[in-house]
Amino acid sequence: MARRLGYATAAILRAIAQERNYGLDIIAATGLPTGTVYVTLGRLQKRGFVSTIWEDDATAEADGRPRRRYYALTRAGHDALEQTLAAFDALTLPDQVERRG
Amino acid sequence: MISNESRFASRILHFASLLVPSGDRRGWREEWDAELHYLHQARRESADAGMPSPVRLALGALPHSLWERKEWTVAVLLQDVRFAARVLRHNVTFTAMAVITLALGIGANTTIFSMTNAMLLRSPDAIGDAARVVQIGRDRPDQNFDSLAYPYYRLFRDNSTSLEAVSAWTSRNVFAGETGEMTRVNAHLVTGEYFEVLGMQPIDGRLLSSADDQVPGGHPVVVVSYSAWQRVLGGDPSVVGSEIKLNNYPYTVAGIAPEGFGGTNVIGNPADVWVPMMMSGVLLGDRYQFASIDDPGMSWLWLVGRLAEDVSPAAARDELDALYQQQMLETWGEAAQSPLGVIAGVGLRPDERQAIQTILAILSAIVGIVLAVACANLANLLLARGVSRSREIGVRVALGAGRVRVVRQLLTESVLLALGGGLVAVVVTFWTARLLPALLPITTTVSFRPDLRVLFFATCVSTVAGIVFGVVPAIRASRPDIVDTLKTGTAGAGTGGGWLRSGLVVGQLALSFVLLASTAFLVRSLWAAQGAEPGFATRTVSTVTFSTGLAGLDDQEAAQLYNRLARDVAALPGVESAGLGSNLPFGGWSRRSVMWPEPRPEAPRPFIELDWTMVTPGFHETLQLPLLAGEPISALNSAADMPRVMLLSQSAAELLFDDADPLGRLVPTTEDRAPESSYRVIGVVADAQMRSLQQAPRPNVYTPVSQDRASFMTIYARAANESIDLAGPLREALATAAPEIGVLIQGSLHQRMAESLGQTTLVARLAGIFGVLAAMLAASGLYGVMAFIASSRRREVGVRMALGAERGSVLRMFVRQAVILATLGVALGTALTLALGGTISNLLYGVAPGDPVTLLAIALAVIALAVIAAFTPAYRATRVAPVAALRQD
Repeated sequence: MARRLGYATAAILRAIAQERNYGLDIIAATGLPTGTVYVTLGRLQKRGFVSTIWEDDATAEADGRPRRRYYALTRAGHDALEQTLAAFDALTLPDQVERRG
Repeated sequence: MISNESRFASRILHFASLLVPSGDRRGWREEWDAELHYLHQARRESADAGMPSPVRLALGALPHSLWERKEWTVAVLLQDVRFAARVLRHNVTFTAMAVITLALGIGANTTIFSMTNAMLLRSPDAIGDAARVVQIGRDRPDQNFDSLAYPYYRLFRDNSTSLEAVSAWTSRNVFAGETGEMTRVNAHLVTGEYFEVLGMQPIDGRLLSSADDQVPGGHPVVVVSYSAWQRVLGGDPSVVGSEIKLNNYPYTVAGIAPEGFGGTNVIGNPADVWVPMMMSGVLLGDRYQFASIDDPGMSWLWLVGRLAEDVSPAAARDELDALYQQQMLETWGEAAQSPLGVIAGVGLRPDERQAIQTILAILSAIVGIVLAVACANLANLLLARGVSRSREIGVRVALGAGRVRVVRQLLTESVLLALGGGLVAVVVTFWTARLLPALLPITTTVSFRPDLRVLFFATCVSTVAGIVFGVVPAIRASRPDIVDTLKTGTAGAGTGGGWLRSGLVVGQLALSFVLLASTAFLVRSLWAAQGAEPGFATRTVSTVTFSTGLAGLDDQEAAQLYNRLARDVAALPGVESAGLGSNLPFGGWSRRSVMWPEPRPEAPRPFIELDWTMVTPGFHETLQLPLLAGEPISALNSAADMPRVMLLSQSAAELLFDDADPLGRLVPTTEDRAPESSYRVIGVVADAQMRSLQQAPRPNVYTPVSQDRASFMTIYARAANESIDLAGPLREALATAAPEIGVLIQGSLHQRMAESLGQTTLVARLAGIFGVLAAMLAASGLYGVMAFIASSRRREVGVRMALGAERGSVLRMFVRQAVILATLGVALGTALTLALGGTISNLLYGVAPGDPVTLLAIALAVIALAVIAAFTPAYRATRVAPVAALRQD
């Protein structure tokens, strides 16, 4: 059985699952400190829970800005998030449960 | 405003990016630049409350870059370790050889460190709140931390506020069990507060308390040590409450002390039983000693105390010293010669600490040299391997591996090897730690079993060793000439490497020389000591020591027994002369007492402490101690009812009477100089080294035992020649005269003298073992270098031989090279030995630390060893067919 994720990790995974998929956006979504977010993203990538995609050069150039790096959940990341949310559910009162589709 | 902020944020990002490993730096920077750009955009479009400021965002990049660096470092390290392990696994012979060499070098060091750890660093686990325990004694200027008399213990117990509790103890050998099957055990006589001072808990029953130490002879209870419980009492679970006999008197076992605790002393026998001080008269059967328990002049107790809360040892010292000085003034009419000392912690006393530190420093130096030789050997092996691996390294460099990376990879290999050696060394240390106590010339209460500290030491030593022997070969191997190497697979081995390797061999030979020469000096000292005479006969004299006090004889019975024994033994066949004395030379014992000569204004203090031996007529003649003036002690002048007489050793006479003629003068032994406690000097005998061969003779006085009393006596009997061993007949004579008395110690004086050189013997033995080990390592290093030179000069040899050179002349050429290296090593070694000569001079006897004959002998031995090591590779080189050698390359 996989190790249960901590709050910050779960929050970041959930943000990515909700299409908040680059660093700053994740910071805005989770309210976590910037250092925590990027280091956690690095760890999640190493564990195979997220993959990264670089924006293509043409789009970035057209907008006149540097390429952006996007994060996406992998299958393993999805499963880990599901398990963790299920565990958090057990702690939540029924009317506060907010299930993701 | 924003532009200033973003410029600052950019700077932070730039700085943080420098920490990111170069391979990942571009992508890392790009991601952060994009984030910063997006932040500006978002802030321009709307003042989004969820967004951090640019500086805060950039500060978040710092932990990110540090994390990237750490991950990379760990990954690379793991990769290096995995690769190193694979390389080492594929070279089993090399790895095994290296690990064994290192295990020897590191094992020697961890063994000596486990000794240092046990004796100097560790305090017994069983002591509660050990930081508050102190030792109290007379802090004498000559470095001896000395014992105190019982009245001072009482003084501190009743008056000190800086100590929560104080206790006094001393140790004595006693006999446990029933007559006929007695075991010798070590009893520590302790005052009631002993275990309270140490904050100790029993593992069964109870420990002693003040209530057990009130009435003389009234508390026959003992606490047994864990080891005695296991060893003597067979671990009997129902031992508490049972009875054991000590010196034929029954005691009840009150409890068992914690495991591993053998008393507060490090040196000396560990305690088997703890007996209340008030039982000392009963236990020792020595009424005189107990009667004099109140004598402030009889220093025989060690004091330990527990500091009160928040009191420093210095504050306690001030208080106790004031009490002590005041008492001294009241007792002796003058302040103490030396102040009172209070030192924190239990364990070695300052004087013992100094002696042990010296010996441990010498031993550490010896094992340090062995490790240095082992490292040089390994460095040599690695240099040779660097040559054979130059192709592999060349390929890696050609594929883009940086030099730093290659060096790090090679260093990882050497550190891994060293840690392997360290691991074996620790296992070996568990074994040597058990053997070590038997090798030591002293007994100790502590266990040398390695603990975490030893493990940590081994890890540090191994890592440092791995770097030391690995760094130069790694740097050399990391700069091969790529093109050349890839072409031939052998280049880069240039002559530079040869010089380095020769230098290492010279160093190894020099260090081996130092160890061998030191061993030779120590062995010569032992030989010299074998032939030494300490001022009295030893070779032909046998001794048997016993105690009438232990057997319960009274003064009169004892005096009769001494007379009878002197007579009986003198009549034994083969005995030339016999006598009894109350001492036992060379670490046995001697009594010291205070004499009060006529007051002299220039004397620093009114009394003089001298060794005092009580003898029967015949003692001096038996030991062949020459009479220099006056008459010897004889039946005519030593009867119990005659005025008391005394013989002085020459130095005692000088101390007591300066240049004046001592004959006929009186020597008072009490402060009031009463005639009835004075002795008339009837003669002067020569000085003798009764204590130790390495110490100057001590002033001694001799009185007839018939006019005094002594409980412990030694029978001395001199045979006509060395081949006669009289110990057996002496035992029989004692058994006939007094069947109830057991022999405490027996043997020839010569044997005792040899054993007293234990410290020199120990160092000689270890230096010898390690010296030979170092020399063997050096020889194998030399062998390696010669093999290397021979193989790299194969072609040259082929040419020489093709041109008609004799095999013998080629052989001589190689051997000459080995002799040159050995001579350089010997020269360097001689310089080192002479420079270090002072270190061991204290252990030497009858030989100077720079003795040229010894140095020459060792030099020749080292050169001979070098010739032997060089011969095989040289011979092999000459066996090559010239054609084959010429065809090479």
